[in-house]
Amino acid sequence: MTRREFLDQVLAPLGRLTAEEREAVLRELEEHLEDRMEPMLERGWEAARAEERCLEAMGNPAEIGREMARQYRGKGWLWLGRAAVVLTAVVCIQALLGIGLLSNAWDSLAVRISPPTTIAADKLKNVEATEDLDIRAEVGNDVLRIYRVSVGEKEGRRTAMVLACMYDRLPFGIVAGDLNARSRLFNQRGEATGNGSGGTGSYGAACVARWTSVEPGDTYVVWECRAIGETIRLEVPLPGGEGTL
Amino acid sequence: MKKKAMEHTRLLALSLLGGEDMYGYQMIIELARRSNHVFDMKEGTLYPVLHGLEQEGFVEAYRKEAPTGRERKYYHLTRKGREALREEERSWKRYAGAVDAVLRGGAGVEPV
Amino acid sequence: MKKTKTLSRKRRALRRVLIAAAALFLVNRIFVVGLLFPIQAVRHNEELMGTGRTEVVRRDWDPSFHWDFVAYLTKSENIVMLSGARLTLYGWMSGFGRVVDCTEESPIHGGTWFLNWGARSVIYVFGRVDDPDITELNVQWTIAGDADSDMWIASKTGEWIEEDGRRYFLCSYTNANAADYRLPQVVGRDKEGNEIARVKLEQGASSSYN
Repeated sequence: MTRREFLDQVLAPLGRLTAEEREAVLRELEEHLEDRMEPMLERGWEAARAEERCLEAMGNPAEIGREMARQYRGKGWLWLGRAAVVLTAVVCIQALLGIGLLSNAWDSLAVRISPPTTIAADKLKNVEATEDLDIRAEVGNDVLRIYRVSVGEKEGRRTAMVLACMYDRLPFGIVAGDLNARSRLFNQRGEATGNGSGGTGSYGAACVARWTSVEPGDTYVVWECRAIGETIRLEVPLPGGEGTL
Repeated sequence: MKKKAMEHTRLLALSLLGGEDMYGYQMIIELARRSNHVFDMKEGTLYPVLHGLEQEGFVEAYRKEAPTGRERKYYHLTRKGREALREEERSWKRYAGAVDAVLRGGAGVEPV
Repeated sequence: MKKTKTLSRKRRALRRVLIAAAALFLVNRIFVVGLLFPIQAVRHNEELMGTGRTEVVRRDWDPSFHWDFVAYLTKSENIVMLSGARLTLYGWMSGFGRVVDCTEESPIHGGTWFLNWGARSVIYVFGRVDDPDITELNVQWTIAGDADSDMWIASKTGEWIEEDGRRYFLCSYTNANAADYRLPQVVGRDKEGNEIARVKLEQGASSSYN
């Protein structure tokens, strides 16, 4: 029997192994023969004789093959692994196709670090004072954050404009929609004279501007945000401190 | 009988790997050396046993360059394998002890 | 010295499952796609509508309408929500829906949801009945172009869904032309058939899919 014939007989019952597994079995046996023959060749054995002798010592190839096949009966793990590879591929394709959706994730992060201050910036003329704030409240699963208040003039009236943003408590989480429609800004007399404008809005974050008229002496305005089963009211101090307006 | 032989090979393989990581041919040499050539097993039958142990998680395999300069597949005993070795060693010793006791019981009755 | 590990079937499979799970988690979180189950789309809806966690009351899957669409009626203490979940190339996705706020006292809380999908459409009416005396419910529409004729569609006691001592209802009209259906009202009657509650539903929420 030649080495080729021997290995073929070992491989014959291994049809159920993956190509990779078969290759590993073959390689290991060949390495064994190599190691075993080398000292014999060094001692002056004729190659064919040495090979024959080594193959003899290996045992019955058909039996080795059968025993080997018995060790690889578990198909379950094989299929589980394949299913996992398919799932990974599908998910990666979805991620590639949905690369534009990354903007949601970006919004969710960006708004935490530096919320946009340019929303409706052109609406307020002759700005007297602007102050950055950090007033937060939890609304459901989300966080409402008031981050800037300015006082200036709009349509001939002294007006306070407040910027607020909302994002999920968890980074990359989805924020509840419609912050624009759910928010109102009242002055100290409970009047909501102006409406406002929506800034950016995505799955990741929402930013809006609201304004209302204020009079000299006013020290605060109130941001109201409706949510399911609750209404949040946040007092927003006007810039410059008490009595300066 | 063949099944028995497989089980013995299993125990021997686990035991050999208890000392250090080895590749197949190295294990055959070491087995012959330690047993003073009493275990003259068919060399090829070691591999199905090793692959079985690997699938069961008793040993892990990795490829590494051997002292001969060639890359070989080394087997390493896992923690699970070490526990199995201890267990099989115990039951083997019980078995061997029992055989010993029986033989001692019939002392003096040497076959003629 | 360089070592390359070879893996058993089990270890290889477990490693691949781990990689798949990590990829799935990342894509779910960061891209908001790749949802494996329709209920995850409902969870997305909860976030979008800001409702907090809700529980499923009924799942409505009508393959003759769209096999890749499932409607979920879910509830919490304060709300009833109807959500759509669509199976797309990106996995299950939120198909939006409608929330009815039940915080204010009322014998019946209800809402409608119009859904257009290509040439087909469906109208859902859903809600919660808080008055225990109501044993029969009728959904009433005014059909466009005919001010005098009312269309009555009855939703009887047996079709109600009881959950934790509360009663919910969900009915749908498949392939109804939403434009013709106007001024939805829900009428509750007691055992003798007397009208004891009449609630006008807000009409407006509608969604279109392609």
